Amino acid sequence: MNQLLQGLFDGVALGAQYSVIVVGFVVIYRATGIINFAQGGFVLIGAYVTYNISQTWGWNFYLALLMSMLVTAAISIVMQRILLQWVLREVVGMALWLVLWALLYFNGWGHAPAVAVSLLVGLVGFGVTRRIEQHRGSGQARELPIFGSIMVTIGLLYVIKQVVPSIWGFAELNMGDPWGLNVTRVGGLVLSHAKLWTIGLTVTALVAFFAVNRYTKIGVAMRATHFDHEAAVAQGISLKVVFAVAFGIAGAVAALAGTTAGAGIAQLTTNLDLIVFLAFPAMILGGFDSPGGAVLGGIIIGVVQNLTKVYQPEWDLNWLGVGFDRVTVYIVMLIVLMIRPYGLFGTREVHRV
Amino acid sequence: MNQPAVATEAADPILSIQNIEVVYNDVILVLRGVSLEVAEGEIVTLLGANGAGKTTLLRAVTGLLEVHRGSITKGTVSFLGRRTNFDDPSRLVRSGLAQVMEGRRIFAELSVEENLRAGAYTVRSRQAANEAHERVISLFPVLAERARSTAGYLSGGEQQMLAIGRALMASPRLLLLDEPSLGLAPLLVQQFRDIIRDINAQGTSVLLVEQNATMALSIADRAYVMESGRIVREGTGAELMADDDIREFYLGVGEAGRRSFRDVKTYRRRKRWST
Repeated sequence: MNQLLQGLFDGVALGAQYSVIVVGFVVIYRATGIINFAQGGFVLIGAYVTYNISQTWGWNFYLALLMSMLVTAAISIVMQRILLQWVLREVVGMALWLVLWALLYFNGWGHAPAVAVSLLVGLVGFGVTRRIEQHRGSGQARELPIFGSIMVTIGLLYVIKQVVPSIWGFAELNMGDPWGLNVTRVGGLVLSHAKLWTIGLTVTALVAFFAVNRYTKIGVAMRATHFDHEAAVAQGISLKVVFAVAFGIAGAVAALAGTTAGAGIAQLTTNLDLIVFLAFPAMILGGFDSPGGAVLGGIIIGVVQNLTKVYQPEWDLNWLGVGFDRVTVYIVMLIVLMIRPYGLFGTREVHRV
Repeated sequence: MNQPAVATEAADPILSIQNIEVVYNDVILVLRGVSLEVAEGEIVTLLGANGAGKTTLLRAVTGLLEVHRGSITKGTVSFLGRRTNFDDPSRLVRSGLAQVMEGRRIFAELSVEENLRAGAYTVRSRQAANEAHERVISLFPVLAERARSTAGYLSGGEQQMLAIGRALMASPRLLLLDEPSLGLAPLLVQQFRDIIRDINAQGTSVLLVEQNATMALSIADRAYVMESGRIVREGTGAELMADDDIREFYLGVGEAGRRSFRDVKTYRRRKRWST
C-alpha cells in the first residue's frame, strides 16, 4: 500500500512538470496553430538562467526562479517576433545591432560602449523600417504559416541546445535550490521537499494561468482568437499581442518546469530538454487544444511512468529493459487514442466531405 | 437625422471610399473603381447580388482584406478624414469603426458576457466599457438574461443580437452591418430594422449591406447598388424604391404588377446568349 502511495506521489510530482510544459504547448497551439518544438530549448534556458542567477550571482533561489521565468518569457517572445513573424523591422534592427557590435568590439572598443552605440543604431534601423512598413501596410493581421513555422521551431531547438552548453558548459551543476535532499516522513511515506515544492509551485502557476485565461481581457481575447481568428481581429484584438502573450506564458512555464526538473536529487544537465519528449504524449492524451486536458494528461503520464518504474522489478518484468517506463507512456497514449482519437478533452473536428 | 441626400452630401463624410480597386491573390480583380460615402448620422445601404463584391468592400474598409490575401491596389479609403488604406484592424476599431460580420461569427464557445467583453477589447477605461455594456443591454435586454449561457446555444435571432451588441461594445462612430437579416424569420427582420434605426438615432452612422432590399431601402437615407464589382446606381432610399429596374430585380415587382420570375429569367437569358 505504502509503495503504491509513494509511487503515486512521485508520479504526481513528475506529472506536474509535464503539465506545465504541456500548458506551454497548448497555449501556443491555441493561439497560433503551430506546435512549438523549441519548448525543450526554453526548458533548458530557464533552468540555466535560474542556476546563473541563484548560484553565480548568489540571489535568493525563489527570486531567481521568478527572474528566470520573466527572462525566458522575454527570450521566447523575442524569438517568436524575429523568427516566426519574419517582420522586416525586427530583423533589420537585430542585424544592424549585431554587425555593428561585432565591428566595434573586435576593433578594440570596450564592451559597454560597443553595445550602447550598436544598440542605438539598431533602434534607428528598426524605427526607419517601421515607418516604411507602415507606409506599405505590411505585417498586419497575419496568421503564421503553419508548416514553415514548425520547422523553424525545430531548428531553434537545435540552436539552443548548442548555445546553452557553450555558455555554461557540459558539467552537471547544482541548481542551488534550498530543498536539496531534505525529506519529510509521513507514516511510511517519504516526501522529498523538492517534489512537494514542485507540486506547490506548479499548482500556483496553473491556477494563475487559468485565472488569467478565464477572467482577464487578454484571456478572453486568447480564447476568442482560438475560436475564430478573423472575428477576433474584427473586434480589434491584435494577433501580435495574443501571439506574444502565448509565447510569453509558454516561456515562463518552461522555465518553471526546467528549474523544478533540475532541482533536488536530479542535477542540472544539458539533457534536461528531453523531458519534453515525454510531455508530447501528455499533450496528445489531453487533446491538443485543451489546457485542462493538458494538466490531466500530464498527471496521467507522470503517474503511469512512475508506477511502471516502481512495479517493473517487482513483477519480474526486468526483461523488458531499462527505461521501459518511457515506453509505457506511449502505450497508454496509443490506447487512449484508439478510443478517443482527438484526445481526452480535445475538440472533435467535423469535416464536411 | 433622416435628412435628404442633398443636405448630407455637404457635410463632411465620416467614411469616404474613392475609386478603390481590390485584388485577391494578386490576380482576381473584385472591385473595379468603387466610390462610396457615408455622412455623419446617415444610414447607407449597399445592395447587390451574391458575388457583387459587397463583403469585399467592407473588408477593404475594416482592414480584414489581408486575412483573405487581398489588397487595395488603387484608390483611397478614408475614415474620419484620415487615409486608412493600410491601417491594421485594431487601430480602426479604436478609432471608432465596428462591424458585424456576415453569418454573425460570434464566439460560440464563450459565454454571452465574454463575447461582449471581447467586443470591448479596444476600450481602455473600465467606466467606458460599463457604459457601453449598459447601452447594449438596454437595446437587447435578452443578452442580460442569458449573460452566463454559452453563446453557441442561443437562437439565431439572439445570436444576431449578440453579434450587434458585441460590435456596439466598442462604442463605434460607424457601424458596418453585413447581412443582419440572413437566416431570420420575417418578423425578426422587422425587429432588426427597428433596432438598426434606434442605433442610428443614438448617433451611430450605419453602413448596411443587405440582400433584403425592401427592409434595407425602407430605412436607408441613401443607397448604392453594386453589380460585379461596380456601383451601378445610387440615390436616396425613396428614389431607388421607385426605380423600375430596382423594383423588378431587387423588389420583385414589375411595372404591370407582379411578373413571373420565369419570364424575367428567359428574357435575361435570351438577351445575354443571343448576342
